Amino acid sequence: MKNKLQACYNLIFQNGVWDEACSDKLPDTISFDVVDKQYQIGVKEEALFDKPLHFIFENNQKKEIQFQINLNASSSLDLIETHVSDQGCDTRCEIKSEIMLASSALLRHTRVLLLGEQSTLISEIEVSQEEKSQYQSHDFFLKGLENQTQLFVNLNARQARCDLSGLYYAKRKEVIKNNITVKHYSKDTVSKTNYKGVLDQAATGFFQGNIYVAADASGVDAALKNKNILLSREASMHTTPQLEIFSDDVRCTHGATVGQLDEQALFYLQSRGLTLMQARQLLLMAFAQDCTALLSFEPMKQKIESFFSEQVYV
Amino acid sequence: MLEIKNLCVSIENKEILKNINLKIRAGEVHVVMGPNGSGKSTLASILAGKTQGYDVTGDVFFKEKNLLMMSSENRSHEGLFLGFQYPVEIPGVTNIYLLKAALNAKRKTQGLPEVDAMDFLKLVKEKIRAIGMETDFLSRAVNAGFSGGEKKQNEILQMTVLEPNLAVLDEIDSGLDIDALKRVSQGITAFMRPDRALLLITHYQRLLDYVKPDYVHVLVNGQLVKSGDHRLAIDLETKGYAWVSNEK
Ligand SMILES: Nc1ncnc2c1ncn2[C@@H]1O[C@H](COP(=O)(O)OP(=O)(O)OP(=O)(O)O)[C@@H](O)[C@H]1O
Ligand SMILES: [Mg+2]
Repeated sequence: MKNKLQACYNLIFQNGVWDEACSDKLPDTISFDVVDKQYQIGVKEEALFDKPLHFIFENNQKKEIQFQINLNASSSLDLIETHVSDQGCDTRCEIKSEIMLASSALLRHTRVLLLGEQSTLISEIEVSQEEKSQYQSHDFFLKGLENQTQLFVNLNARQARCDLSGLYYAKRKEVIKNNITVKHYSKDTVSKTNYKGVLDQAATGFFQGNIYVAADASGVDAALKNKNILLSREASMHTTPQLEIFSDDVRCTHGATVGQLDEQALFYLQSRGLTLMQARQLLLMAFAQDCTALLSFEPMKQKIESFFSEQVYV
Repeated sequence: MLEIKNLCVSIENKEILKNINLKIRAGEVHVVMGPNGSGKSTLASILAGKTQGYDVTGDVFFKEKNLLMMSSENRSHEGLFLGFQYPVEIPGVTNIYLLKAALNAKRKTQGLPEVDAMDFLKLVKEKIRAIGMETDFLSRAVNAGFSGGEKKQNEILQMTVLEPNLAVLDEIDSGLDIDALKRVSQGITAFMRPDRALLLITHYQRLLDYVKPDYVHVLVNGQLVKSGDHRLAIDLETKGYAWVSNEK
């Protein structure tokens, strides 16, 4: 199984169906059930794991998949999703995940999309967070005809925090759509959203970031950033931040940029002996760095960094 | 080592450099002085291979090769170095990474193997100590958040690692405190050898107290209007550029 990662609990889903034989056995503190076509994962209170849980989705059909992930109080889980499909397959997969984080639970959720050229993935993720829980998502959209993600995060109780980062790379006529909504319903909740994208050839990107702060939610800290680099004239990016803030006691910052690689920096690097290609690659790696640096699982980090550097080496 | 013949440069039909002629031999230190906007940095950029937006005529030969036909990276591999007036900040790329990439790019063209990581670290630490910079510079992103003076010292560090034959240093002495000026000057002095040459662009005579020039040229309005020895720099400092223009 080529997508399996060592030092992970690998769970394999072939065309949306759990492949028990190929999957690893899970530790006792984690439950895995199928109820009404919905996969349900439960993590016991205070459970910690020695290695990440790795879902591998190999999808070559039109499929819908549903997940429910429950982290009980003070538990902590590293969840990695790898989405792959065969090169020529015209597939469309819809995946819906409901994530519930009880108080002081921590979920690190990394999603890596390496789909075939004809594959579309539509993800809808809804996260509900209780007091002092933390949700960290790291999305890497590297390959695929169309990647659409809707991510809703509800910060329901005090001091809940989410860190949402995304790195996307698209070329040909690929389309990347991210629609992120963070709702601050409670006091002292924090959200940090940072999405970065590189669009080449005739790729199109959309980023919509919505932040809502309820009237009685004081001490909220929300930041929303989206930075993009266009590598060709035909590539385009549409980015819109939207803020709905009904509380006075809020720190909220937002910023979006769409630009090219810095000509001055390219010249500087070339004057130091790097070829234009090396210089471009280096600047793109540097651009992606604040997203890739967040990956704590080293094998995945290396996989993404090397993919990214190969792809941008055009 | 460098020969500039009838070099004319314009941007958007605006003439920036007019008929520049200059010859630099191995072992020589040349200084270009001139008022703000006279075209000094443009000359430096053209030598280092900046092409965008420039209209260039004339010839430049570097070690007998046609420089204007070479890519920027080839000029670097051939042994030309530009110390930028405004070194560019590159967040996300560490100094050590860039230094290694730059050195290996050069070694590759010379048919040498990539330098071993440990050897490289040793080499760089020696160089950085010789300049008197802190070694923690190495792990910081290239020029990102560096003070003006730190950026200039970083240019000198890059120069000493790349060991070029000709270094063009554009206002390397601007923004340096007294001690940093001394360190940078020492770096430049240590760099100079009979087989190397320097082209210094500066506004101040004080650098020349440390690095003695063989020739001083004055660039006004895109033209080299006067050349002389180091005394010209002293005269300029006291009399100003109006003096050169009037004399002409
Ligand atoms: N990209 C550009 N477009 C238009 N004009 C330019 C451009 N680059 C430089 N110039 C002009 O060319 C002239 C020379 O600029 P240059 O930077 O070479 O001057 P300098 O002698 O280095 O000045 P300083 O002493 O201030 O560094 C200036 O008038 C400047 O405005
Ligand atoms: Mg200048």
